[in-house]
Amino acid sequence: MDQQKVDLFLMTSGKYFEGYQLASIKEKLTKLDDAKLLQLQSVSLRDPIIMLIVSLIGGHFGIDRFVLGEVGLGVAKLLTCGGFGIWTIVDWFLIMGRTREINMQNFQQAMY
Amino acid sequence: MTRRNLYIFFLVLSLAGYVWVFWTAPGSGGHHPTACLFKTVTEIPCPSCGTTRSIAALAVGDVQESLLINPFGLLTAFALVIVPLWILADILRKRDSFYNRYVVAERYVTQHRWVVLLAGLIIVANWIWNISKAM
Repeated sequence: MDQQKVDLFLMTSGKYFEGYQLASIKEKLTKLDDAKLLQLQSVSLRDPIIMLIVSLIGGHFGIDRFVLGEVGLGVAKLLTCGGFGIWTIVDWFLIMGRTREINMQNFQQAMY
Repeated sequence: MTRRNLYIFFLVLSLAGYVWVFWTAPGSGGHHPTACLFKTVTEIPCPSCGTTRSIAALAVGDVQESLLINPFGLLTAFALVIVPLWILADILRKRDSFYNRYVVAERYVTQHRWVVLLAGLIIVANWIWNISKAM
């Protein structure tokens, strides 16, 4: 892929990934065929900041886990009143990292 | 989530569930704490409030009372019995049946919006019912 397009992608979508992942993303994108660009743009990436807000507001009901596609954990969180309240608080600190991790998984799936 | 992490997580969660149910059981010395952060803060019950009381009613064989308190209690009790047994059987037989089913079910739900919508409606309906019952 064109270097300019790669830089543009990293500039606009860099916040969705962990800092250490950006180098490997850049490498993969550089090798990527231009035809896959459309597929790449359709990857659903979640904003970690938005997910933190969702977790703060609806984390008790497992909404944050549902939104990330982790339905089983969402149901478990809902039925246990947010893991007796403990899981809710723990997730406020973990959800941003988990969002970036899932974004990377979705990105890698779209690549292959 | 890897198979190992998923199994450990659900086993620990089930164990916590059993400890909670036995600790709050009517014959255990009368502990009546609320585990619900939402209810503690807002004084409004959450969709799952009453699950412990529902399981306690079910434990003495009162299914009707259990359903009236919170139908989610039946679901939780079912999960508390099935999930740890299934995971332990998987570990002993060195199989991945729970993990595979879990992944397939999760993929099905994320690909079928109507399931999410239906589940959301049930949860909201149960929540409204919970608030009207002042759980």
